[in-house]
Amino acid sequence: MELSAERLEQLYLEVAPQILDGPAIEQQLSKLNFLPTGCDGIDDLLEGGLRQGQVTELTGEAGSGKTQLCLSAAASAAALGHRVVYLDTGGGFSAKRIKEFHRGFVTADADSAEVEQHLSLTLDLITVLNVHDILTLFKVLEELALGLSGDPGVPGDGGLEGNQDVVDIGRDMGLLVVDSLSSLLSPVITRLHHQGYTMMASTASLLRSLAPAHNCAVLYTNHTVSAGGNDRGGASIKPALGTRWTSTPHRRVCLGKGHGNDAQGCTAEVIYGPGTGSSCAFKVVGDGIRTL
Amino acid sequence: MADSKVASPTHSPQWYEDSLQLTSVPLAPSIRSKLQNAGFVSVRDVKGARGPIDLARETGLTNAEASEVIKALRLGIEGTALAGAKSASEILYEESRKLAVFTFSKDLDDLLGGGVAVGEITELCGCPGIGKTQACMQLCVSVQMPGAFGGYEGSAVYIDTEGSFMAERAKEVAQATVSHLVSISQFLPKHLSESGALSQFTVNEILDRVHLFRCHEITELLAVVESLPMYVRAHGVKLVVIDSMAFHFRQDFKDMALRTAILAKMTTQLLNLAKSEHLAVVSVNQITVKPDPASGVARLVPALGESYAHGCTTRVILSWESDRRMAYLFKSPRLPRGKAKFTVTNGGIRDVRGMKRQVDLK
Repeated sequence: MELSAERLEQLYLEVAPQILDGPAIEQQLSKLNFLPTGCDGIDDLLEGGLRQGQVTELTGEAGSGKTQLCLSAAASAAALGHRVVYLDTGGGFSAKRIKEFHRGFVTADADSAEVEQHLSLTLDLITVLNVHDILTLFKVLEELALGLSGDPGVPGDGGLEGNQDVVDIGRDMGLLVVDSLSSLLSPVITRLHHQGYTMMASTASLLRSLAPAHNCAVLYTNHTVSAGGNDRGGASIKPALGTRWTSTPHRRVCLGKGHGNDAQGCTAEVIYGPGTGSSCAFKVVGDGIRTL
Repeated sequence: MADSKVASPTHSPQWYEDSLQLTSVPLAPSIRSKLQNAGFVSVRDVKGARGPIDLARETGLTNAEASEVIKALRLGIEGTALAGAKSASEILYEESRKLAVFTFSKDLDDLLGGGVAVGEITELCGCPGIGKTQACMQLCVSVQMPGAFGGYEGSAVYIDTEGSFMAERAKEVAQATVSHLVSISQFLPKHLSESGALSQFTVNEILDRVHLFRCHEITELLAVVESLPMYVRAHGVKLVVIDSMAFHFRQDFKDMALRTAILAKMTTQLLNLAKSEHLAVVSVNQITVKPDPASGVARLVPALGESYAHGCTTRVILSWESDRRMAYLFKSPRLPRGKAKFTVTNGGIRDVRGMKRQVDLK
């Protein structure tokens, strides 16, 4: 089969990676948004907020505030008009809590009818899906990616029988939250499951390509496991998913809870990525997350 | 070369399925690498081959391996995975109508936001003798309460691994609950009190509706959890209690990694069940000692390790504070941390003041 020169060039352009020069990259970056998390101190740690195009990991012990921070970030992104996709594995999503966070964003003297209306818009922008195994997660991530790349001009032909929203979900997604990613991956990273590391690598590449290609911020949680610290007071816990996973997110933030059963204060520290070493203290209260 | 004719996106479920990358399909690594070397990247590429023999020829697989691949691709998820998504507004509506299972101690119920929540796993941790089993027995009775009294009208499954379930004690708790409801039924609106709401709520029927599974070893526990979905549907079960989760796992396991994996799998199954069948799951955990590396002082922590701690949705730790029994809410997605006093009486779990719960009458 003979290929003409034009056809060859056309094929090359389709498959070759796009080469950008400096000004073009800067122009692309300036269009990306910073999504506030709802807590000023943590936004400062992130140097502005959750950046679209970047993957951020939240790790920490049970009860250190990871789910609360995910809910707060979802509420604030939706309150600003971004579509949020929340993949919930542990049953931690609470719409009532989103409502409480939303109440904390509005000023005290706001008109209650307007607040109600804005709350309703905010809630409609958050789509929640319960995911229980890693294969479902792959399917969801790939469908989101395909939906995002779909041509907005293509009219729905009812192929999904009224599920046109499914396509729309992927289209404008501004923030993707996975709470928690480690509970999906840990069960498969055992000696019994020879697929484990392949799946981990696939997940990492799916998340890292989804974020920049479609201008959305990705936030996920990772739980912690015992690290067998030494007597000199080495770390007693470390993030799950192991050392191979370390470089997957752009930034990793470790949350720790205050000690004593009454203390509500928690700490957040950047342990990987830009700003490593900086930390802040925060407290989870009824209508938000306050910096201490 | 695989035929990579991509149809224009009609967004049908089939199109989504076909575009799935092969890396997301469970295949043996050697088979996957042969497929990728031959240029097969997505499900569509494999379906484009004209059958297993063709696929085998193009990729260098054996005929048997090629048939395996084609079979694996058929076992995909029905429809789109995103089809089950709900918006937060729908969830808010559902949450406002959710019922909770009462513990009959008002302070404890308030701590839990109304009672033990449906659709999630609530973990009760505590030292021996603090009242974990008592609380579970009370919950098994409360879940059966008629709707007129704010109850869930469901039956209960009690998975006993330690042998702590005492039928005589359950009978006492049932009797106390029945007499309590009878005494307040005079305050019910007339149409409800005459409807015979309490006719099904007798001590014998209550005990009939508590399905007890005695598991002597871990394989039995795993088998019961596997068969729960069918059992739950057949018997209208609305509460599953596992007393205790820790017992078998702390005895026989030399391989910690295996233990963590099995616990994680069981937790996922139970959470799945709680969500899909709208029931409450209560798992009981024991307390162990963990030396604090910094100060060398030993702390009491829930057993089964760090990974397991992330599996439950809500965690309540029961302990003694001088003479009193206290419950601490340690982890919850919705509620702030707090503590509540409670006590164990002849009739079950009650408030320290001795006041029984003011049941909301409809």
